[in-house]
Amino acid sequence: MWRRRCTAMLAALLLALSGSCAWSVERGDESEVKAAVIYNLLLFVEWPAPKTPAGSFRLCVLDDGALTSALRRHAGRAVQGRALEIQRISATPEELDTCVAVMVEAGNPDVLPRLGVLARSRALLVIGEGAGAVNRGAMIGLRTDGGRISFDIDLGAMRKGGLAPSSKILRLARTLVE
Amino acid sequence: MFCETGRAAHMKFKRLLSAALIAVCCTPAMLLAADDVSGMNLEDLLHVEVQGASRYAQPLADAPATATVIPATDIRRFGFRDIGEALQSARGVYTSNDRVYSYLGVRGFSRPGDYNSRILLLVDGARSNDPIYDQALVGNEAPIDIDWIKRLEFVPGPSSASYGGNALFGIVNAVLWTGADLNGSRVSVDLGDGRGGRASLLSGGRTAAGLDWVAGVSTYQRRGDNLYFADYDAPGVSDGVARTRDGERYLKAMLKGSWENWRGSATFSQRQKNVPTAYYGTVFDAGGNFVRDSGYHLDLARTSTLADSLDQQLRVHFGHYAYDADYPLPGVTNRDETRADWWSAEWQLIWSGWHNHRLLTGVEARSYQHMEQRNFDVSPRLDNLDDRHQGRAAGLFVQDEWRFASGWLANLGLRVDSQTTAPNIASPRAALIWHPRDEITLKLMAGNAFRAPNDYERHYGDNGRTQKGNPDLRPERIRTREAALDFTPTPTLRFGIGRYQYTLRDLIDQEVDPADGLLVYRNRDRLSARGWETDIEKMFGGGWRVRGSLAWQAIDQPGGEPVNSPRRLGKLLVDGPIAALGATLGLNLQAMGPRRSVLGSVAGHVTGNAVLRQTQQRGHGLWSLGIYNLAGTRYRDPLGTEAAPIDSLERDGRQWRLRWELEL
Repeated sequence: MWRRRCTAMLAALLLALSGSCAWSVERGDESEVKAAVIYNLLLFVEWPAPKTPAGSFRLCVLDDGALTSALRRHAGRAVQGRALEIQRISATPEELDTCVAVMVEAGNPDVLPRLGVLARSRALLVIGEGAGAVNRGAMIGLRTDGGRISFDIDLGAMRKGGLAPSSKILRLARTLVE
Repeated sequence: MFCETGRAAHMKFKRLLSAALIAVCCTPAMLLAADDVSGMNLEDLLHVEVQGASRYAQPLADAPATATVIPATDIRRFGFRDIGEALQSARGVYTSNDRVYSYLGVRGFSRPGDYNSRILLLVDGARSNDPIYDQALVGNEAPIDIDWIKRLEFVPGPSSASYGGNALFGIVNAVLWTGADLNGSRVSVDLGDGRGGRASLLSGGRTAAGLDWVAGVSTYQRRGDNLYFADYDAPGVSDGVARTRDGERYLKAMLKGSWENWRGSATFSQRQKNVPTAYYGTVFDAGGNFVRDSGYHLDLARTSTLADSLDQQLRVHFGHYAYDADYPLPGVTNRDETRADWWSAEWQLIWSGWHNHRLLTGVEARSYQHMEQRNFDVSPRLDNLDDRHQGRAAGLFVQDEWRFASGWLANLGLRVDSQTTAPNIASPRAALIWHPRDEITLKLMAGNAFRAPNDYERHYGDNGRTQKGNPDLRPERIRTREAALDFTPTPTLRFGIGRYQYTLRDLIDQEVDPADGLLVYRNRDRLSARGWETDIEKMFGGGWRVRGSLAWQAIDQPGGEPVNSPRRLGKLLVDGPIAALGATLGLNLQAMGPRRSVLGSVAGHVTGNAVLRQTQQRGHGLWSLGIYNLAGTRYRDPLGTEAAPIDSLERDGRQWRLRWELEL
C-alpha cells in the first residue's frame, strides 16, 4: 500500500518537475564569495568620522592570499561615497592609522589579538577569516559553514572602537558576541 | 508525513504541489548571475554554496534532513574524547558501551549484536563501514582520531537514496582538517584515570606551489582499573574482581593532501581492547581476552569542470579491515581472524545548467575481493570456521534539487542498488523545504533505506559452540516520514522541533535458536516507531551559549518493549568564556529514561561532564581539565546475550582527563 502511495507521490513530483521557470542555484569560488561579502559588510557599518584622505576608503590587508586577490577585484567600487582602495601594510600603528578597515586571512591568525588591541583606540574595523577569528580579536569573522559563507560579529569590540553596525548585518550574523 | 496518513496526506501533498507549481509560473523569475558574485547583495551571498568537503557540496540548511554540525571548537570545549561522545550532544542520540565497543543509538534504536551497522560513517565523504560486520566504529576503535576532525556532521534519517546500504538511521560525516586550516603543528598530550595516556601530533600546511598537506599520528594506552562483577562473585567461581583486564591501546596515522583538483588521503588505525566481561563463555579474570580492530583506507578523488555548469567527480577507494580476537575458554584458547579487502569506484556528474535545478547523477561500484572469517582453537589446533567469499555491489543514483519558487526547494532522489547478497533495491527520497521567511525553515521528508545482510550475519559460526550463520537472510528495509521546523526569531535564539515515524521490515536481529541454544541472526516481523525531538539554542552576552534538547520515542514491536531503547532523552549543554581564568567552561548534562535489558531493565540516569580549557596560549601551551560523570552517578547499559550471565553493565564512575595542547 505504502509503495503505491510513494510511487504516486514521486510521479506527482516528477510531473511537476517538467515545469520550467526561474532561477539557478548559485555556486561560487569560496574566496570570491567571501570578498563580495566583505565588500557588502563595509556598506553596513557606520564610522564615527571620515579619517582617510578624501575620495578613498582604505581597506588594509596584511596578506597576499586568495582572499586578498579576490578583494582586489573590488577596488574602485564605491563604499559610503568613496572609492575602495586595497592597501597592503605590515600592521604598525602608524600604518593602521591610515586604514578604515583591516582584513586578516585565515593563515595569519596570530596577528588578530594584537590588531584587536590596536583597534580599540582607533575607529578601525578588524575583519578576520576563519571560524575562530572573532574569539581571537576580529570584530567580524568570516567562515565557511555547511558549504556557505557566514559571519560572526563581536558587537562589544565594534562599539569600543566607535563603530556601529547596521541592524541588517546584526540580523544576518551567524553568531553575535556582545 | 508524505506517505503517512494515507489518502488525506497524499491529497494534501498533491494540492500543495499544484499550488507551488502555480506559484512558480506566476512569480517573476529571479535571475542572478552565477559567475559574477560581486554584484550580489548580502542576503543572496550568504546563500551561495561553496565547494565543501561533503559529498554533494550541499548546504546543510537545504539538506533533506535535520542535520547537526559539531565543529572542532565544540569538541575541544566539551572535551569530547571520541566520535560517539561528540555525537551524543546531538538531539535524540545516545551511546552505550560494553567495554568492547561503543554503540550509537538513534531514534530509540540500538540493540545488542548491532555493531552500528545501520549508521553510515563517512570520512571526508568516503564510506568507512567494513563489509563483514558493517561497523561504523565511533569509540577509540574509530578509523580516525577525534583531533583530526574539523567538523562532524550528523544527518539523521534514511540516506540510502544518496549513499546506498547502511544509511538507515543516519550518516555521520567527519570532515578532516586541511593544511590551510592548520598552517602549523598541534601537539597534545592527555593523562587520564586508569593510568591512561594519549599523545597526538598533527601538522599541516600549504606550500607556495599549492600543495595542501596534513599528517597526523596519535597513540593511546590505558592499563585499566580492577572491575567488580557481582555476577561472577560466587564461592568456587571467583571473588568477582577482574584485575586490570580492561586495558586498551591504539595507534592511528593519517596523511592527506590536495593539489589542484586532486585530493588523496590515507588513514590507518589499530586498536586493541582487553575484554573484562568474560563474554561468550570465556574464563572470568583470565589474561589474553582481547579484540583487535585494524584497518586502512586509501582514497583518491578528482573533481573537474567539464563544461559550463557541469562538474564531475571521480573517486577511487581501497579499504582493508582486520579483526583478531582471542577467547580464553576453559582449557583452550579460541581465536577469530577476520580479513576484508575491498575497493570502490564512483563517478558523479553535477549539472546546474537547467534553471532552477541542480541535477546530480552517478554510479558506484564496489568489489569485495576478499572476505574471510576464520575461527579455530589455537592449541590443539581445531578449525571451526574457514569461510571465504567475494562480493560485488553497484549503485546508480540520481538526485535533483529544484528551487521551484522563491523560498521553496524540493529535493528528490532515487538510487538503485544491486548486490550479490540481496535482490535489486530501489531507495527513493523526497523532501520539500520551505523558507517562508529568513527565520523559518519547514521540512517535510520521506525516504526509504536498506541494509543487505552482511557476511558475519550470513556465515559466522563456531562449529556449534556459541553461534551459527544464516545464509537465507533477507535485506532489512526502513521507510521513514519526517516533518521538521526550524525557527530563528533573533540572531541569538534558535528553536527546532521534529516529528518522525519509521517502519522497519525484515529487521536482522540476533536471537537464540531454542532448538540448539545457539545465537543466530534472523529476519524479524515488522516494527514501527514514532518520536518527537525538539531543541533550543540561545546565545547570551559574553559568548555564553545554552543548548538543550528533548526526545521522546516509542518503538512498537512484536514481543514488547525493545532492548536498549530509552523512551526519553534530555540534554543540556552550556559553554562560554570565564575571563578571570582566561578559560572556557563546557558543561554537558545527559539524561536518559529507563531501558529494558534482555532479562530485566536498567534505571534512568543523569550524568554530567565539565571541562575547563585555557584559551590563551602563554608560550607553554594550553591546559584543559575535564571531569566526566561529575557526580559519580552509578548507571548501567544493557548487554547482549553473548555477555551472559551479565545482563547489564555498570558504566564508568567519575573520570578525569588532563590535557595539554601546543600550537606551533
